[in-house]
Amino acid sequence: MSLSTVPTELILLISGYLCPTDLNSLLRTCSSFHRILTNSLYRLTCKSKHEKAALYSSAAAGNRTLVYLIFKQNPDLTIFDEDTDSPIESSTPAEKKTDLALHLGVDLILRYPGKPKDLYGDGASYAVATYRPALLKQLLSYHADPSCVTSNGQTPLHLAVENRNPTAAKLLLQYSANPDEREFENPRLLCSTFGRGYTALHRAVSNDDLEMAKILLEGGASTEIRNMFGKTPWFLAVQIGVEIAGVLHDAGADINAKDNRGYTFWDYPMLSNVMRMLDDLSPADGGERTRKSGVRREKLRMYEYGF
Amino acid sequence: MSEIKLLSSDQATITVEKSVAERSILIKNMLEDVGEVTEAIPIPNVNENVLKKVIEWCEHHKGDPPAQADDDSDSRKKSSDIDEWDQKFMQVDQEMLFEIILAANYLDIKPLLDVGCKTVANMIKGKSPEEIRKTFNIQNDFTPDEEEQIRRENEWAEESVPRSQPLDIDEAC
Repeated sequence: MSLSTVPTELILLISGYLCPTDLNSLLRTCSSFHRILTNSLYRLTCKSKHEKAALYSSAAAGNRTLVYLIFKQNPDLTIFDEDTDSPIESSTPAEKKTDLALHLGVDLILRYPGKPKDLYGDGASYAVATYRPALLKQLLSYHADPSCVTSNGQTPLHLAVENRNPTAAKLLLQYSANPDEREFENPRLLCSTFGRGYTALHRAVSNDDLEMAKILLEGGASTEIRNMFGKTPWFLAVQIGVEIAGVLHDAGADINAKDNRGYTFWDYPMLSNVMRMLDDLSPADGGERTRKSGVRREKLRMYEYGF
Repeated sequence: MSEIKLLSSDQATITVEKSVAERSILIKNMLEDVGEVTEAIPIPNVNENVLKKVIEWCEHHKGDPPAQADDDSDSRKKSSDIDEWDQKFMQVDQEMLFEIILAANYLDIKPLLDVGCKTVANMIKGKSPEEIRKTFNIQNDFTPDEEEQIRRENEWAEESVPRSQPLDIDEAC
């Protein structure tokens, strides 16, 4: 006779003397205890002031059963003042905000019922797409996955860049989102800017979003990742503007990188002010390449769609 | 003072004071039903060693007031309130400990069952899953992925989880 062979009713009786932490440790030991004790643990959530933490973490982890159980119990969602530790009146704006955030967290589960595995990710994407950095932070602190992707292969970081949301971008980088992740390549989407294997930096550059580009570069984004045409963000930058090109240049971008066709950016049409900037950057060149580029500009218009 | 006889699963006969044996609700009800018995009452689920141990407990506690009906709402009381004698009594190997618990459950001796369960609970307290596995010789049958998944799912139950912060939805995006 040992703990593993004791009848279930006695295991439940013993577990009745355990606090949530110990109960959790016990049910993590093996699958039969996990099966027997999970419900006991869930029931405890509603009694022992764990409901809020449990609600956030279960929403982030896609644990629908637990979210459902907690909500069924009409949990006391009173929030406490950090400094005085006294409950904050229930009708204060802070409380309403908390309730709202909780709703959003739970809403994620209702929105994506068929995809429990993707929930963390969808949670983070949703928080970014709806401009809710506080919710994003909460989800990330409960291990929402910053590398989840949408059907276009956009990570939450891509979404943050696309939506010009620097707070979210900083948070995601802080929670180790990979800045160099590429969107999916999908030739059928070529009429839009999706499906081109853009990194977040490509997207920030094509948005002419200087602040975002700097955040990404500070967050470790590489200037050398290529999109599906083999173009680094630099190729885009020279089309967009002198400031953004300057940011990349300052970050050490290789201005002579070649794309899939073996062309450098010189071979493509570019803005005249960017040409002037480049002349300033490389006076030794005497502006020769810039002039060459100007000649090619018209000839190579046809390639423009490739950006 | 009357005595009755109990017959253990391994056919040992043990003579015990009736009032002591009646700590077991099972035996008490049985005696009330059948009245006077002369032959030994069979206790088919409990062997001699365990039965003797259980009787030892009953003898020590025969003077206890009857257990008050405890309300289930507060059943999650401190498991540390085991009196000293009981603590010593429960210092047996795990095999015996669980046999006592099973016997107490079968014989319906609630206070003994409680002491037994509290003792096991105390052996679990404050231990990590790995330490619990070692203590009770439990086979870990999770894959590493499952283990991580469960750890995450229930992370809120770990003490290190911060209390959720009030959120500021208006925070600038």
